[in-house]
This record gives sequence, structure tokens and C-alpha cells, in this order.
Amino acid sequence: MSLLHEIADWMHCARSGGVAVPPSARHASRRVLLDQVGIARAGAARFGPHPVRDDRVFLAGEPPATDWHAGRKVYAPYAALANRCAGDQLELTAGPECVAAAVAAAEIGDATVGDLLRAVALGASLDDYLRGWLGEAVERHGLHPPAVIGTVVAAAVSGWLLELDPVRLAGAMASAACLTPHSPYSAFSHGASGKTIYGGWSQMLGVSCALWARHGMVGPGSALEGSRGLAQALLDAPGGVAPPPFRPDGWPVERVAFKYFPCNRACHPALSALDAVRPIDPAAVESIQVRTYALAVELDRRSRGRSAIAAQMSLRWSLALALVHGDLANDWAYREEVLGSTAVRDLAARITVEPEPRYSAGGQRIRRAAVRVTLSDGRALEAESGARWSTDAPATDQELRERFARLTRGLSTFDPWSSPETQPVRTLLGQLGERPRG
Amino acid sequence: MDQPIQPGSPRRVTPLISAVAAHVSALSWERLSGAVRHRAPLVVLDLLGCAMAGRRLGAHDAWVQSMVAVGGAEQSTVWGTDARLPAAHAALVNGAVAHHVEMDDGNPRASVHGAVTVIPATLAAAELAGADGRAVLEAIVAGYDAAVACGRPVVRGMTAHRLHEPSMVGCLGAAAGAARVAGAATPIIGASLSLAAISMPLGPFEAFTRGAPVKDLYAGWPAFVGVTSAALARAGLAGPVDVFESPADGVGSFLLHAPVDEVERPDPAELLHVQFKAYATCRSVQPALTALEQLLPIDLETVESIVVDTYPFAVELSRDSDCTTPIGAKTSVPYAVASCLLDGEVGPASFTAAAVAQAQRQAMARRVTVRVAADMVDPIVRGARVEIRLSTGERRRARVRSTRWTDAAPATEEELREKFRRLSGPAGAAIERAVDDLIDAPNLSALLAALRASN
Repeated sequence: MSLLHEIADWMHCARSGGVAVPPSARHASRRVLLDQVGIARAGAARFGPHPVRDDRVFLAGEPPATDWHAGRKVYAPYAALANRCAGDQLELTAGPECVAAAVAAAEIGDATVGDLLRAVALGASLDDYLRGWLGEAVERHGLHPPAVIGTVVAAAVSGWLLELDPVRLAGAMASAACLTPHSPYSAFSHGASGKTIYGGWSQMLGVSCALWARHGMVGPGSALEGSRGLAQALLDAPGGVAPPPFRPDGWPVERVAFKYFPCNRACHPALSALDAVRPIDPAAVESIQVRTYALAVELDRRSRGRSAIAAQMSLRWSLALALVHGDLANDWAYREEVLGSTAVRDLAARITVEPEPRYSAGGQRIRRAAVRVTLSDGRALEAESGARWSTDAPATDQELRERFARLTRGLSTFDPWSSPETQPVRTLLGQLGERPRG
Repeated sequence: MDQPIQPGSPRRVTPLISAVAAHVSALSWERLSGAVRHRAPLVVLDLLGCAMAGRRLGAHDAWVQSMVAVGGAEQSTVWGTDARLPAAHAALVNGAVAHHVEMDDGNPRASVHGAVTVIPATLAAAELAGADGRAVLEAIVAGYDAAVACGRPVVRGMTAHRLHEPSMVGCLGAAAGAARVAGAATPIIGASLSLAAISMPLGPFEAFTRGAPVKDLYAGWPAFVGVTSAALARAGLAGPVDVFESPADGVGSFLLHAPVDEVERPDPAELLHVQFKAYATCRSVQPALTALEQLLPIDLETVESIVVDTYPFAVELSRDSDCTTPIGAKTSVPYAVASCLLDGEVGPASFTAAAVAQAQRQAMARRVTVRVAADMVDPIVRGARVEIRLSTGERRRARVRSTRWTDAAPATEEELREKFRRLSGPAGAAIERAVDDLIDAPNLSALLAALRASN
């Protein structure tokens, strides 16, 4: 049996009762749903219509799904595309890359909120498995893991919510693996606006693959581990690879690390450490030395230019913004005029970033950072930290609810937190009817 | 490796995307050579013949009907039907159906299936834009040039990773054609190309060898990506302009590209390197068929075994193929050889579900042994030796160092027209006339009417 058939069978068991998604996992899924919907709505309100909502791209069609921003119905894959793209520039999205696709598919399939939460939990397990197997290779090749892996996950949850049989569900995932986008990281590091479609493209493609599978358009079951499959390409292992056993370890959705800061995750430990030594007068800073894990250093090194997108990947720009602007988490600071200010530019130039061997010991990636701020009066402030809201100290429900309220303030009465699991997703989405204000 | 850039440093200018965009933008019919101008309508004709054959075979009918049922803005024609769909959807469907018979052209300089990715995208975008025939042909030529120019730096990496090169590079050609025919300015063409580069599918070859239907989307999806990239570029999005010059995290970080400085610039005569297909198979199988044809006719009852020695890629692909599926069988040397013996030709009919289910055909395929020819390894010679061992004790041998209709003996115009007529069926005459008149056509209405009438 191929890997994808095995996964499809496992997912099918979650429908037939053989695999029970426990309340704790469903609750964790609700946290992911709440956060991703809030981010999307806030992004749409802050940045206006994403270019994917251009009339040449964003088209009506059957089956339709809801555009969370305007409440109108469009062809379901495009709804997934637009809903995921809307908040991308906020760079806050965490958790499995499947929520926009899952909501669109749930709407098509007239699923309940409970089904949707189960689907997100299943998707998180698949996401966790694929990242564990292929994530490092994807990174090593300079590709963007959420985009590459998210397509398969989005197809899986979409197909599950559309009640595909296991063979077609495997075929949908296989199509997604075959068509998954190349997604080089340079769109991020070089600050190209095209980066903002990475998350959405995988959602669009995932829903599409699930819809196509209904009509026989499927990929090969061996699309991942086959001798000419995706894994051998990513792992530089021509001839095929033996995949690690697919044995979900608990419910990874319960371990999602939400993003506190609106930037690449690699910047978070240093920003968290910096928070520990604040307040600091940026004018009094002589230099800042950051020691962190190797990938974070590498991503900072690759970041080019002063665009908001590139700066979100740069430790130096992000730390400078945090000090000069004040509240990175709650006030959008990655603006061209802020990035272009002398204060930010000069401070960024006084920040050095070096790898800390302790954070890479034994080949492990320990997502921590040590920050030393040297002031012009000779004093030095030091702190070491992991990322705020990391799995060591996860965001509480209250914190996530407060963030959702902050992000969506005034947008509508829509609130997936309190919706009962028996409620149809279509009914939940009906609460979006109120148009955004302001 | 990328050099670290200090905050505030300016961005680099990227040569390849910019050079290709400039070439696509500047290309004009008058400045093309006579040979290219002669070739342009022929590649259109050849592709439309493939598309009509795909329709006649009912390729992916259920899926096509589902896409038609999506509906939406009626912008572009689904060939062989009365339906009109959003341009990107029409390009997706037309590309997939046209690729199904596996007879669309290729350019070995970058392993590009130019026609089946560039032409569906360009025609769909042209119909939406109301372009005239000349603009369409210019955009198609530009699309072929762009695909090859962008593909040459990375083709070796794609091959090394066992990825399907045409599905990847085809996105760039499709984007160039779609953007150009819509009248986009040079920066928008560049943005279209860079968006296509970041969105192109990874396209593992597994879909082909295992015979999965999604393999036909390796043509349709690039056409979709091309049209969509052009639309997104016009809406203000762009990929990283230096996507080819970023070895740490650009196209080349995965695809092991040649240094871009060493890559030649777009060639306005790229169309002349296009190779047409005489057989409905993967190109890797075709040298063996070319050699085998020299040994026909033959009494099938007397065939005991057949040995094919050919180049490594063809052997490996054939070894991995699932020849019990219509699509997978197209990569199988034994299956194709058996079909050639049984059918006298290797056309679309050799690869239907009914054909692959024939016990006699599969039994004949089992008599075929495929080996690596030591003299075709380094340098690679895309040739084949075929030896048929007969029960009479006779051994018949043939050897070729290339494939029928490749550079050594390219297809003549008459051969291509005959192929088109054979593939397109009764509706072909009107399509052929419309393509012949395309250069002077004020719009695509005659061609599209002919394509609809073929329903």
C-alpha cells in the first residue's frame, strides 16, 4: 500500500469512527481556526483587496464558497486563495496550512463546525508528518515549506470534507504533490509581492485537487515515495525513498505555536529576548549583538532590501523596528515610511547577528536567541529567550481571543469561538454578512 | 552564494528575467526570419490536431464536463465544445486534453513541450483580449523563446531530480505568451515570468511512469499558471525579479542551474529547434520505434523475442513504467514496440484503456528486453538498436542514432499536415484553413468557430 493510501485510510477511519479526534484536539483546532480567520480579516481590512481578488482572477463559479472579506460567493478554490492571501502580509499565520481550504470545502460539503475542527486536526497530523520527513530538505533547497507541503495538506482536508472515498482521497493528495508549487524562498527574502500568494496558492490547489478527484483526475498513489516521486527529488535520493512510518504521535494540532510577532518565525526568539530587556531608548543604543540558531542567521543574511516582506525575514530590521516603533505585535510597523526612516536604518546597521553553536548542538534546531544590547553609557543589557507563544509557553485561550477581538474589531459579529460543533459551517459563515467598516 | 546585503543596500538588477521580458516585448513579425514565420502556424496546427484527437478519444471527459460545469465568465473557448470558460480554466482544459495523446511538440534544448503549454494559454488570453491573428502568432513565438531561455539554465537540475521539465518550464512560456498577447508592457511581462517561476509545479515524473491522469495536467496546469500569472501581474503582483540569480533560495537552489552568466539569451529562432512527434509516446521511446519501423513488415507469429538497446534515460523510464495504464504505457519501450508490431503504427489508438487491456499486446511486450547501449551513454546518443529474433532463426537488426522527425530528418510540412488531418478528423479542414489564414485574421473568430464546430 502506498503512503498516501495509508494516510487516506487513516483519515477515512476518522469518519467511520475508527479514529476519534478527541475534544482537546478539536479545541486546539478551534484555536487555529479562530486565529487564521482573524488574521485574514485583519489583513483584508488593513491592506485592502489582495491582488488575487482582481476581477481577472477572482471569479464566480460552481461550487461556490464565501469570500470572508466581502461575504460574496466565488468559485471555491478562489475563495480559499483569497481568504488565505488576505492576511499573508501580516505574517502571523501559524498551524497547518489548511484552514482556508478546509473552510471552503466544508462549505461546499455542507459540513458542520465539528467536522471542520476534526479536519483541521487531521490536517495538522499530516502537516506534522510531512514537515518531519521533508521539511528540512525543502528548506535546504531554498524552498518555502508551508507552500510546498501545505498543498498536500490542503488537498487532504478538502477531500476529507468532501467525503471522497479513500482511493480518491489518496489521488487528490497525489495530484497536489505533483502540482505543488516550486515556491523559492527568494520571494520572501527579496521582498517580492508574489510571496503573499504562497499560502493561498496551496489552498487553491488543494481544493482544486479534491474537486478534480471526484471526476477521476487524480495523481499516482506513489507520488511521494515513488522512484520518481516528490520525496526522492527533495531528499536528493534518486530511485526512491522509504518513508518513515505514518504513526501520528498524539494530536500535533495541540502543539501549534502561534506567532506573537508579525514576522518570520526565525525572528521571534530574538524579539522575545529584546522584550525582556525593554524599555530601551533606541537613541541610547550603541550596538546590539544577537546570537541565535543557524537558520535564523541564514535567513537574516539572505534578506535583501527594505520592503516590508523582506524586512519581516530580517532579524536586524525587525529588532530595529521593534525598538524604534515600540509595539511590533499590536501595531503594524513594517511600513515603507517606517523602514525608510533614518532611526530605523541606522539602528539596523548597528545590529550584528551570529550563529550560536549551543542552539545547533547535535544537529538539533533550538529556536532560541541571546541578545546583548550595549548602550552608549557603557551598560550592557542581556537576555536569552525562546519565542513568545512557543510550545514551551503557548498562547492561552484568553490571549488568542483577545488577539482575535483586536484583529477583527468592528468587522462583524462573526466569531468561530462560540459556534457549536453541530452548527453547519454555512450558518457560521452567514455571520460574515456584515461588511467591514473603515 | 549570495553576498550579505547591509540594510539600505539597493537591489540588484536581474539579467535573465529582464532579458527575456525585453525579448518577448520587442519581438515583431517583421523581424522574424522567414523560416520562423513559416513554422509558427505549423506548430499551432500540430497542437490543434493533438487537441482534436484528445477530444475524439474522450480524454478526461468527466473532468472536462466538471470544469465546464464550473461556469463563470465566458471568456475563452474550450476547444471541441460550445463552452466558454474563464480564460485560465479554458487554458487548463485545452492543455490537458491536447497533451493526452502525447504527440505535441518538444524542444530538446530545454526539454520544453512548447505547444501544449504556450498555445492554450496564448489563445485563451488572446480570445479574452480580442487580439488579431498576427498578435497571436507573435505571442506564441515569444512564448516558445521564453520557455527555452528560462529552461536552459535549469533543465539539468530538473532531470537530475527526476522532475518533468516541460511541466515546470512550460509555465514561463505560457506566461510570456499570455502576457504578450494581452498587450502587457515589458515590466508586466517580467512580473508574469517571475510569478510563473515561483508558481510552477514541481512535477515529479512519477505521474507519467505510473500512468496517473494528473500527468495530462502537466500541460494544462502550466497553461493555467501562465494565464493566471499574467493576470496577477496586471493586478500588481510580481515574483522576485532575480529569481534565477539567487543560488541560495531561487530557482537554482533546487534545480542546480548553470551559472546564469553562462546562459545564452533568448533566441528568436527557437521555433526552428522544435521537434514534432510522429508517435504517441514519450520521446524516450521513439528511437526504438524509429529503428523498428525499418524492420517492418514482419510475421508476428514468427517473433520470438526483441532486444532493444538504447540510451540510459529511456531504459530507466521504461523500467519504471506501468504499462497497464494508458498514460504509463507511453513511457514503456516494450509496450510501444509491441504496439508498433501489432498496429503497424503507434498512434493514439495504441494507448486506449481497451488497448492496454489486450492480452496479446501485453504478451508481445513481455517478449521485449530493453538494455542500456554502452555506446549511447557518454556522450548521450538518443538512438536505439533493435534486434528481432525470429523462430526461423533469422535475426533482423536496425540501428538509428536519432528519432524520426528530429533535427537529422525534420518533418516536412506535408507530413505535418497529414498528421494533423489524421488526428483532427472530419472537422480538420476548417481548422486548417483558419490556421493558414491566421496571420491576416483581424480576430480569432474563424478559428474559434472551426474549433467549436468540431464538437
